[in-house]
Amino acid sequence: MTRPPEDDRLVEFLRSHQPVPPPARPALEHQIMAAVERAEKPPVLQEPHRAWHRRAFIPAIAASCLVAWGGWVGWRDFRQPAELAAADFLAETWVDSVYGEEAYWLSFDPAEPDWLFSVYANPY
Amino acid sequence: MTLTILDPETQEPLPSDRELIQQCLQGQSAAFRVLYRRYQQPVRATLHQLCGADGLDDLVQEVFLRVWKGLPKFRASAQFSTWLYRIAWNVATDRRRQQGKARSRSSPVPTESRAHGHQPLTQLHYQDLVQRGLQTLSLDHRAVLVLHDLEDVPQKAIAKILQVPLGTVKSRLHHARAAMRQFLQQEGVQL
Repeated sequence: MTRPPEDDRLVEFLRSHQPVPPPARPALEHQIMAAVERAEKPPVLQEPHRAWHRRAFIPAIAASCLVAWGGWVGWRDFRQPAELAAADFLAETWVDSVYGEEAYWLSFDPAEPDWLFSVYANPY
Repeated sequence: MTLTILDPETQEPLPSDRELIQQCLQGQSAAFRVLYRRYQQPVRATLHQLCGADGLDDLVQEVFLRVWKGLPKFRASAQFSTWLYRIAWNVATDRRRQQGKARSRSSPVPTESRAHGHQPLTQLHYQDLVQRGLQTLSLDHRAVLVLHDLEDVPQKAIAKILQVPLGTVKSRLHHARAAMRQFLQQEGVQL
């Protein structure tokens, strides 16, 4: 990129007369290197401090899933007997209303997969 | 393009910045000494032009300590010199802030004019003029002028160092040169 001539002259002047920094104290390099030696080594192979978030993340998710699954199982087992009792009651009521006393000999165990089949299989 | 730096004494190729950084990251402080010797002069000159001579050694030390501590965060794809100037700029602005607080409590710091025995008077006079001219600029304008016109840092790199858009760098450079030219002309310098 070309500069206007007046900028060229200015830059040339600035470069020719730029302030010269005072010389460093003789021990400066030694002091810097000593400070570097004292300082912690660049922690390239160490985990950063915030890495515990990442380390804890997956176990936390796993623990949450386990707790949720356990809760669901417990809730299901707690709820199931009440639901089964209600189903028994409905089935008995329905069979009684349809078959009357003829149905006494039928099985009403809803836990058996074919308990309704026995009802349909018997003629009126 | 890969630039190979030769040892002035042995004429053997010196390790690149990247190689030195890798060695530093393995804990080899001797490699850091090479980096320091390679870059201390431009860092020193830049800090001097931005902050003056007062406490310059401490500023240089602060820059290189921050470099050492920050090496693990240095991205391998980046240019080391750009990153180094960025740290120097941060140190300079921190110093500027501290000076601002101190100045509000005490009298203004006089412009230093340090004589270097062997230089002719006209040279010292012009150096003093340039130094005073730089101090008339805001730190943002001064930084662009120093980095671009004195340290020969490309404008794109300056944009990264100062974390401003490239257009801002161009604009600041234009205004800084105009202000500098005006100051020098007022002081009787014919450009």
